Amino acid sequence: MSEFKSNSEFEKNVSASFGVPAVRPEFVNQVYANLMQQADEKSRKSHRFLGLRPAWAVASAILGILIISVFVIGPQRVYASFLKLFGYIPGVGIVNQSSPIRVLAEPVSITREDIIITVTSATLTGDRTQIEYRIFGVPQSAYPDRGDVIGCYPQEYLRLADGTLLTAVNYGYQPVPADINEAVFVIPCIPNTLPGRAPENWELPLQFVPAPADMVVMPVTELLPLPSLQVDIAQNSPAADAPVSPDDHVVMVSKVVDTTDGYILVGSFQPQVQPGETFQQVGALEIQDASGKEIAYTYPLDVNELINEEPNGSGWGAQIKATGLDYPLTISFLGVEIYPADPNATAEFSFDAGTNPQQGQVWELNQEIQLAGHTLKLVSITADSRGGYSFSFEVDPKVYSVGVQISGTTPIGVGGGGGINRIGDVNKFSVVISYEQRPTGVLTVRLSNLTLIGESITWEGQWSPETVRTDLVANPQLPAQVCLTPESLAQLQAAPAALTNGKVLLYEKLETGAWGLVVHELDGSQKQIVAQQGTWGALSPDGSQVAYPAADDHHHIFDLALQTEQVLPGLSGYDLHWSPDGKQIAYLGIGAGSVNSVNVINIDSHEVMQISTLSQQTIIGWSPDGLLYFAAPYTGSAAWKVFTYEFSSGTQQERFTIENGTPKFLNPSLSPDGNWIAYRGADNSSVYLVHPDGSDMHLILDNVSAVGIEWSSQGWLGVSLRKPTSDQSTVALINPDSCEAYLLPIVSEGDLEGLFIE
Amino acid sequence: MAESSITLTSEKIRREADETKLIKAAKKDPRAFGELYRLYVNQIFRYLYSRIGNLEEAEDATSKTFLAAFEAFDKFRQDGHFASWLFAIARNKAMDHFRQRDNSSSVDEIEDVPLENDPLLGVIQSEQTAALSRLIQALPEGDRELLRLRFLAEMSFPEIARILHRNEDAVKKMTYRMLARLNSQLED
Repeated sequence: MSEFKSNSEFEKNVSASFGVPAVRPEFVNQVYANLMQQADEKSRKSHRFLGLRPAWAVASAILGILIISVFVIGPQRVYASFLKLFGYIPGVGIVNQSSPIRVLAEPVSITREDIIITVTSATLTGDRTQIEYRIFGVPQSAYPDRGDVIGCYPQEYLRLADGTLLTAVNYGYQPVPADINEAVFVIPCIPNTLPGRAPENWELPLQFVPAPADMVVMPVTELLPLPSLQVDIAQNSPAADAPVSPDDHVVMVSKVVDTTDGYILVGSFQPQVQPGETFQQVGALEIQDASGKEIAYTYPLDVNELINEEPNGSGWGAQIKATGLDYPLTISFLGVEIYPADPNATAEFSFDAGTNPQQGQVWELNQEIQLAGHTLKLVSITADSRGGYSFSFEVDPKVYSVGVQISGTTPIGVGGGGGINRIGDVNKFSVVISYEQRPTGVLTVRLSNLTLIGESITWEGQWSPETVRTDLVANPQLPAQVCLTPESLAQLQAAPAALTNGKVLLYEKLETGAWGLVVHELDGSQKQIVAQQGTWGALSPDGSQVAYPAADDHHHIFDLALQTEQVLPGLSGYDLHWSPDGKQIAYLGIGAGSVNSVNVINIDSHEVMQISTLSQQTIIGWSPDGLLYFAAPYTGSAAWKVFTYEFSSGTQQERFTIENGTPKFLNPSLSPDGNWIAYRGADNSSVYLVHPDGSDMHLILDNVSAVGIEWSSQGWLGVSLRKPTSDQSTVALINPDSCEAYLLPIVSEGDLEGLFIE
Repeated sequence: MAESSITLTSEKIRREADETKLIKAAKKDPRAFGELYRLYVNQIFRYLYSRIGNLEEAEDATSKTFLAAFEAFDKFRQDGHFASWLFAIARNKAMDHFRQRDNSSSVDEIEDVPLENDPLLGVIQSEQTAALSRLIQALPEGDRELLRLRFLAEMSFPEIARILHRNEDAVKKMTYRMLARLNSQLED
């Protein structure tokens, strides 16, 4: 056997013998749209505005036909009722109550080689054991430093005294028998570490006790909806003559979980369209009460289990506060119909890829092609990194997608293909075709299956609670230190002139459709593009320069006045933070063995200093006295440990732990006076403040879809806030001491990365 | 053992660098997960279709894979290997599919998909491919899974080793031996 040498032709035959068709572009686009909808819900969290995103507005203008299908779940129509078996514990999720619930007696920690693993909680029910644990202190040297090398993926389990092993099941581990209150939680290895690089076979002895009597377990109600009712159909709508059938349960509320201040609603959204047509959702779901008030909601991560039960991945969830609501609530999904133009229409053209096309090679064509009565402008073709070609189109706003084939070839995959991505007066998209081996020479390209953006559709469902809750606080008061809420945000005034002399740096969507770094004047009067492809930028303390990692993998420093650019030697990183004197930049290093650890580069000497050995860190900022603050995450929780580095002594000091930060993008920022650290909360939407010694940690912006966080030298906290029904953001300025707050006259699709006020 | 086309190329390294950037972007902005989806949707679909053998159900499992990955992305470490993590989810979705199709089947039974339901009976485009397909059908499910992961999912040997909980060298040897055996059988 050893003399056998595999060859690509034979391997291609092996691949072909499986007879797998190429994935359908329509499917690719539909799932992409679903993911974007979920992304919107995750990142925006609150829904206060009724405005439509631009693409939606465009589609509306084109056709202006609105179909509304409504079904009603009224209290008198609840089919079955209370699933007394199941309950909801905040922070834990859905629990089976068929047997007494037990919990962890106390957290258990083990430290080995400076690595700490802590089991923070356990919830034992009749059907499973849920265990939360977190890890801290794994050095970056324990992880692979190459993308093609992977480390350990542990299969944790519980071991009972008699040797029985309880292994993983969905959302936990097998249940611990009711008469056993001790077990050892075994973690064979730390996730993704390399063999021998970190301690293995961790054994944490756990003890379980009955859940405390005051443990809150809220009821879960399962509903069966009534048939859909079509209550309002615009004239000339095809659906007007075709009443929705009793089975048309498009927007469903299938489960309701009571919470201490409201409800978690879980349901499905399965839009129904004519055969051959699809539906693309535009924006996130919206909820209104009977008075027309927009209801803010958060995505209930701890009931993913219920959301995932919905058929065909159609589940949605929303957690709302219920005080003062008028019922019924209306849940709306906005979207557009996608339909084929002429299934038989095709068009062909040729292009010469040459005998040896190189990855990244671009053919600028700007060729207009007629297909099914529409003009498609093929802007360019690029030899992509997947062994194929990417075709970039500009089309009229009504065109959604087009199929692309290279005659006589069999692709292994098709991606891209369409979407609603209007830039100016055109819709832009690209189609990617991948091959085992890139086709060469003169290629005949066939376009077909043009699809169009059709009717605008709003699908709605309604829900009312079976009985009005009497346990809700009539007028819940937010903590006094909270400066902005979804409600008060809507009342914000424009910033006074004294606060509009300066600039902000945004990572934003450019007119070309690409994302880059842009500096705006605070009064909104003008802007300049710093980098067409930059992603992480930092504005210098005096507001005169922007540092960013460029596509050439070096740090660049752009002088805004002189329009000149300095390139620093050495590999770039991201999450850049200028020192107060503007002479150094702290950043997270990537590449060359550096995995997201903190580095500092001296701008003049170009000397680079790596100041930490942990991975996955985030930089908080520089204090006036020269300390560099940074944080490292616990694996498996929303906690971050805050450190400082003192340059003169070269010492690193642990400060405190942020327990309620988002594990995704904490975006912490230290105020220039060194008094506050601002960071995003675990809901990915709120902002908290804490003093650098860990004291006075408190909420300051409640559920306002906060993303970018930056301070001005005068102590104003700037926060970019995503609009819930569009990709646009606004920037608010907040004085954390007085709660004085304003909106800047800058609206863009982007996030705040720098703030300078004169 | 020669690696021929299986050798990591600069293209693959570049792709992994791109992937690292995409993961960082997705950690920052959930919408950026869409680009990771674009990067992997073909491989995931090809793998799941080869397991399930039905277009609609493979699309459904593909959709569920990415939605589950999106939901769990908070827990994914940036320095973890995304492909291994994603395909572990896809394999679970394939198992879920078979469980739902036949609740009476045990997990072990499901691992060995009956030939009459096996998607390897798919479209055959050439005589050699047809012969190869028949030979592959005759392989044990574990061997077929290895071929799926390698040639449909386009995974590297370290990735396959991690997913199958086997040593990387052993996976390599198994693959080459299998290819050699198939090649030899084709020539007979």
